[in-house]
Amino acid sequence: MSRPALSTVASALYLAALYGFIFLPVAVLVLFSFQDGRFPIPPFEGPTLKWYAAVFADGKLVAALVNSLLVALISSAAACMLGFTAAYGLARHKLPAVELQRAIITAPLTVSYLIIGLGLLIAFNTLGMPRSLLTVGIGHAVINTPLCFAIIYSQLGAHQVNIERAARDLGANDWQVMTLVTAPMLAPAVLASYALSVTFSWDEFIIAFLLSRFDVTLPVEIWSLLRSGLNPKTNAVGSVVFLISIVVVLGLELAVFARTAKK
Amino acid sequence: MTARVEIRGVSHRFGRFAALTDINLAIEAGRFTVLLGPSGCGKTTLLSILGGFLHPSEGRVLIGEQDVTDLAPAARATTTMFQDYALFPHMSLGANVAFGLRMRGWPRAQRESRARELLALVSLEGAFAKRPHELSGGQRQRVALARALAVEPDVLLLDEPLGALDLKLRRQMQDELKTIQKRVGTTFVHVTHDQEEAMAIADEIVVMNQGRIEDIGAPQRVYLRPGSLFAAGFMGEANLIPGRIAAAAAGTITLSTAFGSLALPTSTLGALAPTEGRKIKLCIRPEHLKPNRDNSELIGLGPARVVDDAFFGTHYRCHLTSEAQPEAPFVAYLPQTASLTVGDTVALCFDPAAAVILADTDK
Repeated sequence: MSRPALSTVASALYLAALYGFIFLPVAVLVLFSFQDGRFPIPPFEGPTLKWYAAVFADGKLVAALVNSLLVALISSAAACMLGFTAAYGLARHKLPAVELQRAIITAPLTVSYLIIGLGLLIAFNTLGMPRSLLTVGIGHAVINTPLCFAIIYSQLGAHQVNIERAARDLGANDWQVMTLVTAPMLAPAVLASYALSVTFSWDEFIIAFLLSRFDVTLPVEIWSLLRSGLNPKTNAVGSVVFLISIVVVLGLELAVFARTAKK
Repeated sequence: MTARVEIRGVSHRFGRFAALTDINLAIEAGRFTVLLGPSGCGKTTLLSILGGFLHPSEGRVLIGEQDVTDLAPAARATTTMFQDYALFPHMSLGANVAFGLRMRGWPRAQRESRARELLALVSLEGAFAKRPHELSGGQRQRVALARALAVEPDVLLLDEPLGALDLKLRRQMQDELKTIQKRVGTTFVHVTHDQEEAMAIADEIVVMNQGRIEDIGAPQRVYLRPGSLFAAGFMGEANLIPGRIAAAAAGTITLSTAFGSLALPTSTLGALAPTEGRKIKLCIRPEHLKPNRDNSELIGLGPARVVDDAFFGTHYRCHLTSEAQPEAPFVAYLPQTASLTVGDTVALCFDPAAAVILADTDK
């Protein structure tokens, strides 16, 4: 009986090590945001909320946080729309070279953000578009559209074809089929892709850095904060970023899980 | 609301595969017609052409007096009930049933009260606010029927609607479909590969094979006097005795077979021309074989030995090997009272009035 016990202990240790490896850096970051001292290093003294007060008293950080939220929510909505219409078009209409088109739409997923960011920077320069939150938003829509497309396309199966046919048979036109039948049926996939897209945009740095100028997003603001050295305030703002990502993901889980559990 | 359907010279090809070849069919208004055939016989293709989901390669489709060949599904007086029911999963049953009326611009109160009437028609009165995932297969099927009937189609097209149900529920739904069809009077065109289902519900059966119509008629006629070898085999079990027409005289036709020459009444010929020397097959249903000659009307097939017998409740299903043609055993349904055991030898006979002579189209 000692062998199974030993293997159970080993599994538990392995699991603990795995979770530790993934979450220890985050835990340390969050812990030292409550540090009552000048440096986010051991030993831990505290706790205190003064660094959070400092974050929310910093006008530039709060403005950047609002900018980040706006860019994430709006660019993700655009990415979702584009991804959904592309997926619907490719799945439901006879188009030439469907596989090639699908590959081209999803290709940006494999290209580094640095390359995409540089390409967009050159394109906006050529077009004479000044760098702004708009260009950052466009950049984020570019990287998130393939993601939304891939998620929604994977859920557009043959089993909905007859449902759409039935709607058409009962008198619905193309627009009504899409808005009253297809989109609501795909709501879980659309919601999931939207939430993922929001979290990706929320903490994206390279593209936001390359394409913004006066108004910046939170990761860019944190980067300029880091240049003046580490202090618990950077930990506090990092914790806020982490907390908001967690809220979005949990919200998604609840929304999608509640829907699928009903079925 | 009901209308007559006419299919004139319809052919359809998928690439080089001919799914339908020169189909001509008239379905009278208010009838329950079943398209029956094995998978790949073209019955679902024909239904899709009626519904407007496919445009035929050739030919015309008329509903009422109107040529609808070029009309979209929504513009036709047809609705289709799909095999997988195709209910809208995110809508209540009421909204599902009322969907077609909503598309026709009915105000909410009117379409909801109509939806309630239709749910009552299919015995789902209290389920207006339920969602499709809360229902059993048979209930979903009823909702699909109510939804299709809500827009008062002239013709309802049913694509293997009972295919996903278990046997008992299927038999029960057959009865309900038939009752509802009689009540609303709509022309029903129903596709199935189950010949028992076809016989249970149809006013008229259209037997199809390899893109062609093999036989059209009332269930009794198609079963008892099938128009082709294929129809005979598909409608149920059949014993086929190969032979030739030896002579045709007034009232009597003589066949030469492995069982000697058999003299039959000309009524067994059906539509077949009694050309002497023509290759034929004599078709005898298992229930028309008798183990002994207890009346002079019967024709003998010589001695046959019982190889096996299985009790089916209503009858025994036996295999018998005849001395004259041992390579093709007979199948016979013998009454519960038949006291036969394996190895017995009987004098096998058949009722000539119930036999059918069919053209031998086998290669």
